[in-house]
Amino acid sequence: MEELILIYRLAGNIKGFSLKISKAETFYHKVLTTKCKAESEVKRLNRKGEASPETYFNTVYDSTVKSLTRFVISKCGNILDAEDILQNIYARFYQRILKKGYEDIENAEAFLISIAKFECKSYYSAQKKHSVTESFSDYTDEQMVMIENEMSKTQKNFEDILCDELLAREIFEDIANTDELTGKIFYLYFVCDMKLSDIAADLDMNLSAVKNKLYRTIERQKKKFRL
Amino acid sequence: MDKKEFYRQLMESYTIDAERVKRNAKRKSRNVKSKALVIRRWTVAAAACSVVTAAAVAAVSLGSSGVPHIDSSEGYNITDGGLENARARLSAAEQQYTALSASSGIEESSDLYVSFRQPLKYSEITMVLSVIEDYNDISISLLYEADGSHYDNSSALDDSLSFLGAKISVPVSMLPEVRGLKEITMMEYPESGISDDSFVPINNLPADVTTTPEAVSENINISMPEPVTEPTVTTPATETPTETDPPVTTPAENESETKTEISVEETSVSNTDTSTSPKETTSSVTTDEPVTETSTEASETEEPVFDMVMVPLQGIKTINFINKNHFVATTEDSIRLFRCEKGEIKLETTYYASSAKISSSYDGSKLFIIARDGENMSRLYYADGETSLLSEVDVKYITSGGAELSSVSCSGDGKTVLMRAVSLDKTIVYYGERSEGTISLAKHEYASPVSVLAYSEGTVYTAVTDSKENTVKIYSISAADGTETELASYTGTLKYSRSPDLNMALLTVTGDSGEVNVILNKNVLIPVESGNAVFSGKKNDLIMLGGVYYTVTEGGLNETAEEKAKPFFETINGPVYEITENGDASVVIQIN
Repeated sequence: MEELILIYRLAGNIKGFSLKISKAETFYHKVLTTKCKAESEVKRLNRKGEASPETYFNTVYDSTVKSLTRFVISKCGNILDAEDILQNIYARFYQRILKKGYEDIENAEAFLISIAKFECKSYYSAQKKHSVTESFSDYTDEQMVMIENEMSKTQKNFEDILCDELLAREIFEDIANTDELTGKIFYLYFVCDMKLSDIAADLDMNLSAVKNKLYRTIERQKKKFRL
Repeated sequence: MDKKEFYRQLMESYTIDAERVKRNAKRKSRNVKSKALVIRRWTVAAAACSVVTAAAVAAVSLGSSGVPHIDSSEGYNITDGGLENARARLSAAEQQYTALSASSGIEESSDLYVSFRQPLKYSEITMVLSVIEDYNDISISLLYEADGSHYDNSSALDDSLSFLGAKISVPVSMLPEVRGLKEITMMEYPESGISDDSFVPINNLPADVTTTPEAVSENINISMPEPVTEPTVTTPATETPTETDPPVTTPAENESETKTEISVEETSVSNTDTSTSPKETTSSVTTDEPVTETSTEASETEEPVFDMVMVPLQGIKTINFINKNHFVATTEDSIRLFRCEKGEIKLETTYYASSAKISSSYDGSKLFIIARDGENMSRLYYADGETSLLSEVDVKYITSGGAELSSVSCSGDGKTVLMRAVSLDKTIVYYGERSEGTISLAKHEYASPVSVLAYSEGTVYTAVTDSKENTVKIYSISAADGTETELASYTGTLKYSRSPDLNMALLTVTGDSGEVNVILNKNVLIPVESGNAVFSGKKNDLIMLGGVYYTVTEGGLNETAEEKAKPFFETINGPVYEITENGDASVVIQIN
């Protein structure tokens, strides 16, 4: 944790990135604080063993939903299935604690991840694994830097678009329906703040294919929705 | 805001709704929770039984000591002092039912407090609920005596105890079916302010008025009547037939029938019973050829013109086209056949019966309709697209002992027929094939709730649920000699879906260790991974599992090319119709 914050602080000296870095730092700190608080609360509940299953579930849910979402999105076939899968995972978990209690669960997150692995496997057991054949990028390094720079520019109409639920949903669905991977890449990159190389490793793809999908969709949406 | 922040907020907002996930996960678990509780209770049943029985006996004899005195023969009778209160509760329950049916998702479950017409033992309550096809989705959590004393269902192990009410958990989609059960007088909801401790059952019949089931005759003597069609009553589209309809008879010879007047203008139906040897376990059902009607087709040279025409009937609940010119409409208290001809909709046949439950063949051309007459007896009606007729099938030999006809299914070609009749102490499965106008039916009796899974080449397949042991056993029964063979036994709750031809089924058993999915086909249970199957209506050995097409051969699945298999899965587009919320309906018909 300390190392990461240090890296962000060092990077913060680079001109033009200060805003982003301070946001990332705040976000990271916020996540850690919430998670630590929740984890200590879960431990406390475990020790006492007297909280109702619902209280325990709520506490575990709040502390794990972000990491579970990230896990499910990495493993699911389509980002549009993620909510259903998450729901099944937490339903199984809740059902388990209602039936057998939670005193024996030492690490709720690890427990949930094991359910998630099973759930993702059974959800997609009938589907063939996708194959990624793209390896050559449509974009040169210069073009990618340009796109990256453009993404950091402030644009007035974004707030309006987010307020227009119909349009925002249309843009989201356009991403989610592009193919099975693009939505996942968007979520992991923008929401989870993962590096593209880590996303590539997580999704078992090569880096250029990840970049290609991300930038191609951003460029397409720029024209289609005037973003 | 920059683009990165824009995409972050966009993806965060629309990918997952964390609150919805939390809410649905809890709701989903709660539904399973009830089932899980049932399982757990039964495992400690032996211990719990003696304790609860002793407690109940003590309470009855002492009259106090914490539990009020119980006189289960009285109940809360709406015919005496509690009438106003009962009316208010009934009214609140009706309002809640309407609200719940309209607002809740079809997959959600609802807790209900139900009152029974007469005191029932636990085994009888499970039988009553098993009238519903998917009864495995219903779980019982509490059982109530007349004064509101309640026990968790482990107390039901002692069959000397009877209950007048229960708390059950039911999928919202099944509420109408529960509401239609004849042993249930009222269903109430926690949303009405009723809690586990405040609920007191209401029964509208004095408890001593119980119908003792008569022994069902060994001779299953079902006749398919010969309908004689008289000149039809033409109802202009602007009129409402509730005003103009002449009274119509239901053809069964029942002297207590409430509607017995016969009008020459209506369809009259005569029974033709066939007799069989009393010792036969397999009986014959004769299907006499009905008099077919001459349908007026539009001239081939004329260009067909279609328009939407109002159906001259109010309070319509369902419409089923059996061919392009005929449809069956049901209301709260009637089943009617209409003919569409040159822009007019003509009423052809009417039967007065309530709570109609329709089972259709794959192409919709054959309908079996189970309904109830004024005496609360099950009646069976058959609509056939080939003959364009709606007629009653005489099932009084099945229902005369108080048994309720709970399901009737027929294959796409109308040849295979499976029926299930449930009484308080047993379930009888009838099965057979029709050949040249005759249906040969065999029957098999069970003392537990049973599901009819499939029928293939003279063998019927059933699933028997044992709620005490939480097991499901799959059996095959030979129609020729009644030999029963156990094919498999599973721990957990069963869900199943049958192929349109009834020749195979996908079974899903959910237990503590997870889910098991198998395809049942010709004595073989083939394990599969997917719990979602689509059966072909056009080719009875084709199935789609998780997006992959397979041919089911004896003992296995062979993957089949999509382009070859897909045409057999195309849906059939029938005539267009629309039913409004207030029960008005219109259909698109040819008007020239």
